[in-house]
Amino acid sequence: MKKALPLFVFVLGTVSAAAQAVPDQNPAFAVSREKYMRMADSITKWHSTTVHDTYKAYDWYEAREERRTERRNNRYAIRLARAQRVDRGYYYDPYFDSYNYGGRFGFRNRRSFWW
Amino acid sequence: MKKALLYASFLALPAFFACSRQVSRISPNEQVDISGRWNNTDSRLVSEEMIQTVLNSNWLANHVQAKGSKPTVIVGFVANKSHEHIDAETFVKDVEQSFVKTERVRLVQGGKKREELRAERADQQTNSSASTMKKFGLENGADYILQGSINSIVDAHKKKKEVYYQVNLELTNLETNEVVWIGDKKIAKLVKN
Repeated sequence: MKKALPLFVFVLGTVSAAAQAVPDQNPAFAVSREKYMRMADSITKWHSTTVHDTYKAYDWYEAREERRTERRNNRYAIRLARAQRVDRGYYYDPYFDSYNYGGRFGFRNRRSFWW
Repeated sequence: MKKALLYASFLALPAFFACSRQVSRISPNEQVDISGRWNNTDSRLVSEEMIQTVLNSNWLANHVQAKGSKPTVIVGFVANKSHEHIDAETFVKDVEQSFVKTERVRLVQGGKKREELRAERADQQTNSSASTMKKFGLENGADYILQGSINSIVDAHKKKKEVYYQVNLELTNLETNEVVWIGDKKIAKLVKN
């Protein structure tokens, strides 16, 4: 009996709604009405507002500025990490560039294995 | 003496820089473009166009002729699908104000303000005197809903940028879903950095 109660209420609602139907109205309109009656509160709370669905437009000039800022921030982070690190010599320095160290006289530009 | 003057001038430096900012009041109708982004001039151009077209379109006369009364409008949401943060309320409020001022269209409250109204009405049910208590179920049902969208196209290379905005507002019949009016405003800007 308890299980049949919601069905009974639904049928009663449908029948009463159908009784109020105006000419040419879809006879199944109550199905849609029930569906949207449940959703109405969550949808109508956005009334009179702007829903932001923005995108990021590519701008050559702004992209260049962003790249520069990122580079500056990276350099700053490296310097900060280096300053905070306990100095145990270049061997332990994760940012030490051994390949390029020494410039034109460095490892990269040696002529032979022995130099 | 010279040293004292030098110290005094150093002390006066912060005061000098503090005074370097100047602020002046200007007319909201004055066109001021600083960054090239969406600004109050764009909002004003949109509201002027929308007010002009919404009140002079056929939907209004058609409704009065068919129903014999002024149409009731509720404001739905405006979707900002552009690349900038644009709040549509600045121009939608102008359109709403024109409805109220001209008294040709009835406007009903929606969204959070309506929630607040209903909450106040609920509060009255137990706190107000019986003669002043407002009843539930007597709100004006809207005939039309005003919805809108903001779109943009950006074309930029090196220091030049062209930005195109298209703002659309549309009125739809709540019973039939028929769109009775669409207003649009197109704004194109050329920005050189």
